[in-house]
Amino acid sequence: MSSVEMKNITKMYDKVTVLKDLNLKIDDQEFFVLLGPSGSGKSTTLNTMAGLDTPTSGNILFDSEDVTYFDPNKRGVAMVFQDYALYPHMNVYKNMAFPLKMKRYKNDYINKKINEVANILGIKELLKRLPRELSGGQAQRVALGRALVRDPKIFLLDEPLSNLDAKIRSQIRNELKLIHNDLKKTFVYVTHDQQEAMYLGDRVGILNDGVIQQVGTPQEVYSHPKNLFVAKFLGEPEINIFELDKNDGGFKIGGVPVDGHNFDKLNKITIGIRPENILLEKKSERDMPLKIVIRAKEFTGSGFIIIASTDEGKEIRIISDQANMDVGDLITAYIDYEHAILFDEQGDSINK
Amino acid sequence: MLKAAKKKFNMQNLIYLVFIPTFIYLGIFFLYPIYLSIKYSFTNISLTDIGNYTYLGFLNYHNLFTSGTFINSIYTTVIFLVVSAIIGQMFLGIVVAYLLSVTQKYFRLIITSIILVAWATPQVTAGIMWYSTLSYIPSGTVNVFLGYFGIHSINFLSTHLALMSIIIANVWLGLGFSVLIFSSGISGISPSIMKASRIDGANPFTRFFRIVIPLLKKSIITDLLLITLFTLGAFTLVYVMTGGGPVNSTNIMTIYQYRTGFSLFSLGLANAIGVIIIVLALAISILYLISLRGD
Ligand SMILES: Nc1ncnc2c1ncn2[C@@H]1O[C@H](COP(=O)(O)OP(=O)(O)OP(=O)(O)O)[C@@H](O)[C@H]1O
Ligand SMILES: [Mg+2]
Repeated sequence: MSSVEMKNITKMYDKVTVLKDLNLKIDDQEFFVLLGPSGSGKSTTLNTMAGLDTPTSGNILFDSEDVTYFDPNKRGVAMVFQDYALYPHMNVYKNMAFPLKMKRYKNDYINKKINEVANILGIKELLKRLPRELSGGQAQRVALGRALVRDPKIFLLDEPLSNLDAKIRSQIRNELKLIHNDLKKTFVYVTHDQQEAMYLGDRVGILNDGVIQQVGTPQEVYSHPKNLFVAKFLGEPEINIFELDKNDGGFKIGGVPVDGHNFDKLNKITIGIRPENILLEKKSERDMPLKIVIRAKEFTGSGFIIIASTDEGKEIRIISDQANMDVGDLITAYIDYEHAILFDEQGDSINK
Repeated sequence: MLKAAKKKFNMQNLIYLVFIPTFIYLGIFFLYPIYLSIKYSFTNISLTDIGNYTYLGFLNYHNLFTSGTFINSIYTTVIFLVVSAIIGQMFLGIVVAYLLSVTQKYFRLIITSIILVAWATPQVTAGIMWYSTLSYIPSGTVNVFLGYFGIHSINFLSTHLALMSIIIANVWLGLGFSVLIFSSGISGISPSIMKASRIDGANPFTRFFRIVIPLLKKSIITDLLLITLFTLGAFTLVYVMTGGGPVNSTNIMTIYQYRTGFSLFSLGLANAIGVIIIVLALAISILYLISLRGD
């Protein structure tokens, strides 16, 4: 049993505020992903959870026990780092034994535990090797093993897959998911890779500039982003954005008014539409037409990414499973009103 | 292709030309003096009559190793080396560098500067300073201080305490160098390794002995090598503070050599001592380098 709660956490280095009044509740056995661009404060958040850093103000609760000023080793957490952080002078076996030795476990137990974990991770042949004799993927498996042998209450992972090549990355990513399913422990996973976040997370928290932007399931944050930042950060290719000024008391695209109430007080709105929600055929009367010129077609294996520009010269991207047009063609595409996301001038999403 | 290879070969030969002045320089100012030193160590050459000397074979060496003063001098040198360099500067240097690495940035800067000032102090200045700090008659700073607390003056430069005093002075003088070497060694340890060890439950003490020290092995050997050579060659500080006395209690080999050469004018004997110092330094250096070869 281990839930994590961060209450009003603020962290300052000298005079720079890195985390601003951060609140976060992570459930027991949840796979929680903290997602954000570089420098947004992800590692700082994780370090304060681990006890490697203390917050300037605010509290951290594990299962409603206040651990804000606990030492890392009193918190029962294990951590995996981007650069593996294996002890260079110890072989794999000794690396994995280190946390257990610190806890004064008997050698028999240590031996049994390491073999058990080494089997799960397929690193049994590596036990005698030194870290410098391992490939990146092997090293990260060992680091994972060092975390697993401890039976921690909470796993903290700071971009563990970032240094690996694509193939190994997806392989270990899958294993991680399976391990989580087996262990039923709480995982907090930090990444800047939105695809990884969507794939792994039961829930995803998006962090920008030390402020949590939104927390939700991958589907929620993808389909119902709370603000423009979240909308733009998630999804590949990036969401298409149209900024509209008020005209004749309303907003229009291609002559079709944008349906919606609550527009009275707004002078400007922004429409976000995901590439897969731009249609090549009209579906409803409320869909808004775009006159576009095809610039390029990219085959992705399962479909196409069409790059086109509107008559205002704006570049847009469309995902479509068919592409029976050629570069240079002039066609009309439609913004699927049902899936369009509206934002006010501050970039916060608004109801239609 | 053959042509290209030939051209490369010529280029490589040219590079050796660049080194010729260096070789000549080393030959004249380094190897030849050592050759002379070894040669004279087998003679009875004297400072009073440099032109005339005869070969004595190993007599100088024999005389040295049967002389109580010389054996005592080796003994003093080894104690001076082990306590002031290996234990004092090296071990204390690691501890100080480790403590500094976990303290605040500005504090670290201030302490490092203070320690480095000591290292940058000319040895004569340092010697005079330490002499006036430890002096018995007239009372030096420490004894004046002890006087305030009603404690009797202590003769820090007496036969019993002089060796300890020069050891402390030499640690003071050389600590900065070791701290600098180890600070850069510690900053080369990945921060995530230190973090991982904290997460894994290592307390600062365990972390120091099981993570920091093993990872500093290269710095340790480099430091040991250099400070051993510095300390074997130490002269000025000790000469200013004690002149090798009282009663030979701080008569390290370099001082013994200097006195033999310039008080007894016996250059042959002095050169023999010099050769022994060089052999000792070489032997220790090779020992260190071998222990590095493991990785
Ligand atoms: N020890 C420190 N002293 C001063 N500033 C720091 C310190 N650690 C982090 N910062 C600053 O805090 C901010 C957040 O850093 P953090 O490492 O948490 O970001 P991150 O989201 O993990 O980024 P990345 O994806 O690059 O790892 C950065 O602007 C960084 O410069
Ligand atoms: Mg980070």
